[in-house]
Amino acid sequence: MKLSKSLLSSLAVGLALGTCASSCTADFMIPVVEEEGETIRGEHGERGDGTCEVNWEDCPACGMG
Amino acid sequence: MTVHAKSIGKTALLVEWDNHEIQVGVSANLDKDLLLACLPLFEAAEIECIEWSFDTLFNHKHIPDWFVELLESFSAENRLLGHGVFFSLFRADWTVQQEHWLKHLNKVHNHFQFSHVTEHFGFMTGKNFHDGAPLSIPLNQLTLDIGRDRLMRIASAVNCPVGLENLAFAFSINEVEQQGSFLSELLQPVNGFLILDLHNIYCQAHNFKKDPKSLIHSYPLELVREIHVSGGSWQQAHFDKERQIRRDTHDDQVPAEVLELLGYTLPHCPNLKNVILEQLPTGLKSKSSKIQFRSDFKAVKSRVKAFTKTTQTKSFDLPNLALQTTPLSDKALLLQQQFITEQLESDQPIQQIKKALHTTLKETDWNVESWDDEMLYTAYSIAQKWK
Repeated sequence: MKLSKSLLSSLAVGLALGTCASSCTADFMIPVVEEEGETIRGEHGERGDGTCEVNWEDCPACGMG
Repeated sequence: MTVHAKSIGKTALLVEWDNHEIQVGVSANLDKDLLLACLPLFEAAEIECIEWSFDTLFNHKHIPDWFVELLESFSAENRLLGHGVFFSLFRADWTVQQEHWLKHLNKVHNHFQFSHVTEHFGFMTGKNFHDGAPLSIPLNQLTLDIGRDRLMRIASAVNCPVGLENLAFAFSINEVEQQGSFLSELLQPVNGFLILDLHNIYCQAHNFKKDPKSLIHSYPLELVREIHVSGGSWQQAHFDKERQIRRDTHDDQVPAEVLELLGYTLPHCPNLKNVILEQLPTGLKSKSSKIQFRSDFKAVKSRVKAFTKTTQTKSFDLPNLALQTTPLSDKALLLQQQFITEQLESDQPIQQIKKALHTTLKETDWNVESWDDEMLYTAYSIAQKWK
């Protein structure tokens, strides 16, 4: 089934950046890295003060993890 | 879970399914590795439907917008399937958690409008509602009545077809041989359908030395609306070191035998609508495993698309439901289920557990006398893993 370009983009960004996209209120910034040609989420993130190391799976704002 | 205010229900109902099309999809849950494995398939428009385990986000306050949008996109095309995990169909009492589960299902279904909703055959071990593993049950009138009661409650929470998946695990060969006919009787009052999980058949065939193709025909194939395909793992047998037990762990590639079984089964299932590839994200951590997953998907899809479906499709619409006000329960069966759970989750040696089970459940419908020792140990391993 064909998905919209905007959804595919949101999905790719959400998975790659490790953020909850617009639903995340914590403003996480997790770098995208390339590994063997594949885009994966970064090893760590930062939250303004550079101390936060969470992604959408264990984001305290979302209650995941 | 937060859901968004987009109205999609009416649209979904207007989309008609082409009777001759079998949709091939994946089990898509909120997990990074699983969705990353699926992403190239989504981008290539290869995935024709998705199955979501709607009760696995129980400790999440919120889900990402993009995941909700993914579910809504498939829902709008009537290609979103709901698959429950934790309801515990044959639990012999009625719990607050089951009541909450039904309310959650109703709420989620009202928003996402599943094409159909399914659960698993068996009762769940585990003191906690969300921890445990499905085990088999005595196949008698009492469990038939309890299962029918629970299925009707699921059906009454949704306005779409409901079904059950065959169980991979069995204590004895009698259970293996009788599960198909029991399922047929169980599904009858809700005009329900069967998910035929081919890896579960593969497990049972190997563990009980049965021909998988013969085993396929012990199930009501005219009721098969969905097929599951997955991989699993081998466990060294505990007592007989020459023997291996096949486990339905969903953490590895699809065996060639299961793909062959898919090709064999397709012509025998005239009412088939969906074929779903399942894999747990624990088996999708590496880049190579993600590539293998996509290869498995393409292998499954090519087999399905090579098959031309020509027969008419049975309707699995819900009939009028005669639901009893009070959920059926049975104290004696509940105590037996709790005893089995306690034993399997205990730290006692397996021989001591066997002795306790054979003493307490002697000459009951559990028929412990016929249980395979290796499968008892397997049940112990499963219960320990998920407790």
